[in-house]
Amino acid sequence: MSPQRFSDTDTAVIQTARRRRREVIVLREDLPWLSKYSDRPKDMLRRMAGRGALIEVGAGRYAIPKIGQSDIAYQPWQRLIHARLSSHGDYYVGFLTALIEHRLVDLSEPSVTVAIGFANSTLTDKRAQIGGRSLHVVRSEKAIFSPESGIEIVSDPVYARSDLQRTLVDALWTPKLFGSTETWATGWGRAVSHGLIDAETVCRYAMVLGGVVPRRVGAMLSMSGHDPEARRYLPSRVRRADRIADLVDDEPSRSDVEIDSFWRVRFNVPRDRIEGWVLYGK
Amino acid sequence: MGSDPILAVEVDIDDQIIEFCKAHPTLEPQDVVRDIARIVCIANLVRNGTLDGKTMVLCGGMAMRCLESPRMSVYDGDAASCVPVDPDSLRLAISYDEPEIAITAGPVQTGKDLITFQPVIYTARFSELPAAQDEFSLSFAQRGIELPSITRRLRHRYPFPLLAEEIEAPIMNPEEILAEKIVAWWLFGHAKHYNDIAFLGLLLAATKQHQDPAVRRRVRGVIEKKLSINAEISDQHQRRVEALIPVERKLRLTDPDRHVDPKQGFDTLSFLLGARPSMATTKTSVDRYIVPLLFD
Repeated sequence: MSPQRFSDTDTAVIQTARRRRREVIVLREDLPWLSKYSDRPKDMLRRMAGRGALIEVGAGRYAIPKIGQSDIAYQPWQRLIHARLSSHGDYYVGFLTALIEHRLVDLSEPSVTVAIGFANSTLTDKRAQIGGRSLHVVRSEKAIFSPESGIEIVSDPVYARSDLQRTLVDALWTPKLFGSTETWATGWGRAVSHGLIDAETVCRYAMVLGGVVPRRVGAMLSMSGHDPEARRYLPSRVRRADRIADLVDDEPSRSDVEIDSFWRVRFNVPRDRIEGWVLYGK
Repeated sequence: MGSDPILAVEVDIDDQIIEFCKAHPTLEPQDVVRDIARIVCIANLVRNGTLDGKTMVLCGGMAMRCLESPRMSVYDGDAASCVPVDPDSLRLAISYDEPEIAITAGPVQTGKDLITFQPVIYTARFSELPAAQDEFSLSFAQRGIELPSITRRLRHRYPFPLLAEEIEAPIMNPEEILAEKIVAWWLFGHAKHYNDIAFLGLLLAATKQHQDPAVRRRVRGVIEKKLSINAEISDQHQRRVEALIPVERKLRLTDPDRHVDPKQGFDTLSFLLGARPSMATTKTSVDRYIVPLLFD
């Protein structure tokens, strides 16, 4: 990798940013003070990034690297994601990424999966890259980004992430963002065997997501040894549905499979498979 | 010698890790830093006599790596014990401090004949990368050891200097590992287990052991023992063991897509060296070496 080079102006810009408690320079917000160092701040920041004095995050945002560590690998990806997304609006890191972050599966993922609550075609229309990681973005207009629905602000580095219970619920909302059914079901299993499931919270989050999610959560909780809690915390109205729901959205619907008649959920991935992955528990 | 550092990394270790990961897209630098911490932890447990090869052996993914499996787990470590383990003694044994790294065992999660230290926290002082302060988990199964352990060099398989001296680790007998993997595949159906079965099939075939009647007898015997141990874990486990009639056992190996679809799960596995094996290659190994081993 090429070594960092700092001009006197680079050093002054970084010192000023530090004095302003900025870990990330945002061109739009920092334009007034950046203009003191250059008539064309945008070009100046790009040149600084070219010298390794800054790290380009995207959308006019530049992270400040440590001295001697210009490679993007030295930056926590969470910090770069937060820098890129937080000023646009609601977002959270979730799905497979959160399943890994919560140590519910023993996997590595070279990309980051996030949900955003704002329109941004540069993020959703093409495979965006932040900090050397590809970004897998899903947009939702639902009110699902609040702490009440299980989105927590993690500190050091600061970023928004789905908490453990919400991550489990999200698997039954958008399973295609979890890699495979085996992956999220194994995560459920580890949560069960380590006593990490808070059934009341899981049910509350399921109600926030609505639709067929509460019924799927009910079926999964029942399979996981939490049937009494599922029946207690999920209102009976969620079961008053004309149509039987598939347990897993992105798997083919099948007619020759077991149905959980209480939760009105069809095991379009055979119950035996799901039970095996959950039962593994490690 | 016990107080000598385990690690002997070079000053530009971070650059070496970054370059290594650029050539291995399924790995992130933080995975490698965490892996180095796990390797040190295992090396320390060997050196202080905890992993003694008699009452306790290394198993799981780390043992498979000592057998030159390219697959890499990124967070967990596993050991097996034939005697009850004392969490407090183990916590002391896991804790380790040298100039380049400090490791401390955190809370323990207790399952049926299984304890897991999660997290085991480490500070990798040799690194400035994001995972320099992070964690992993370490599990100790107390479900017995059926066959004599073997000793293998603790292989990190990184192209840069890492350990101050070679460490010989006692690992679970590969025949017993194979039996564990087969039982896990039959009962739980994870792609990683099918992948490991295929790898062990190739390993046996390399020395024609798959044709050895004594090997067949031992593997089959250990499988039955492991199935009976699993059946005692819970009613659900018992039902799944009872469902494993001979024809079902064979079908789950010869027709893995009928059992589960390992192709899908394969996409999530990490490989330290070499490319991800194709499903065709994996299935060929299972068909050619494992199925005859168990059913002929």
